[in-house]
Amino acid sequence: MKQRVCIIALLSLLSTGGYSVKAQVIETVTVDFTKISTRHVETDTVRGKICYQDGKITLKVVDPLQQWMVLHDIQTLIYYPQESRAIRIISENTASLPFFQSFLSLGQDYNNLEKLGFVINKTESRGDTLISYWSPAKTKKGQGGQFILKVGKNRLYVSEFKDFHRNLFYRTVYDDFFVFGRNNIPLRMTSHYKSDRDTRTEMILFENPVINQTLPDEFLQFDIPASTEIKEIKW
Amino acid sequence: MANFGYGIKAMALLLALMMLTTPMLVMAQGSDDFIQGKVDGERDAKGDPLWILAGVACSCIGVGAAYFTTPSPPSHALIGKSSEYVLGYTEGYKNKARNTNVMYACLGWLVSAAISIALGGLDQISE
Repeated sequence: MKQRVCIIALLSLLSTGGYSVKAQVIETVTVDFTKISTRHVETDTVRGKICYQDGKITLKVVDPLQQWMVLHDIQTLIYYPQESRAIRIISENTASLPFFQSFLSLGQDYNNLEKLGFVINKTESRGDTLISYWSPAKTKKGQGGQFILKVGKNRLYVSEFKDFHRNLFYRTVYDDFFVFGRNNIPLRMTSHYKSDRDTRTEMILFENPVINQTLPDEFLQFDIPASTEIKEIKW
Repeated sequence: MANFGYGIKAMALLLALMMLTTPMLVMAQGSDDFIQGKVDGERDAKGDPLWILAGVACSCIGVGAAYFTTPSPPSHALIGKSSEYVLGYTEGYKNKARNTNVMYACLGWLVSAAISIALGGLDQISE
């Protein structure tokens, strides 16, 4: 279980690019996003805007359909304004959007990886790039997979996860960095995932990031109408 | 004039057919989304091998717990998807992950039972 928690924590860190030298407090975020998923020959594109404040993530999808999603604590509320229909999902765990963590984890320090239970197996230096090989602590050799991080100029460029036992491969390339204080936030993340059963590519593009400013009114005032039919699902 | 009358009737019939079939097409689309969501949810659900431990440690209670504990599908898979797809995905994910967890727990239970039988056999031999 601890290993699982460690892996989730590291994946969260990896998807964040939160390799800051000095922690900065994030109070609000507003950013446009495009999510392009390709599985086999099918490509799915979703566009919208994400806002964050006080631990609550509010997401408005404008394409290919109208959808609102609010993630707060253990609840995820999905609202379809055109159908006047909503689905409330209550989970045992805190609801989160892994690809959005890049904006929420600026305070994460690079050195925290060790505190999270990971150990460096070895490091290599190639030009300006430092390559480090990580694995969960207290794990037998050859089990639990291996993480490889490629960092240069205080920026995480590439993260890889390999698990030969489960024939699992996950690689994310980060680029188009947005500088906030001393932090470099990747605005483009391209992930390639491969396993026995599945192969897919996902690209996340962020645009117009605004940090620590007042959120747009429609997000601040968002609430579903009282007459909306809500279906509740407990996970 | 008679031809004009037939034309009106044909058009009325066509309109009536369209009115009848449009909701059916919409329902079929909704149903397609539900099925696609269910297929995707089943594909993404992997189950948790930790339930083997539950089966080993708690026998049938572990299996029961695996059945009644609902696995959590990932929220990001539901972004930009229709309500029918979301309902299908959650159902497919829950069922598949739950079944896999129950299978893991049963496996753990069998391992536990096999160990007990083996230990019982050793006791008899030693007596």
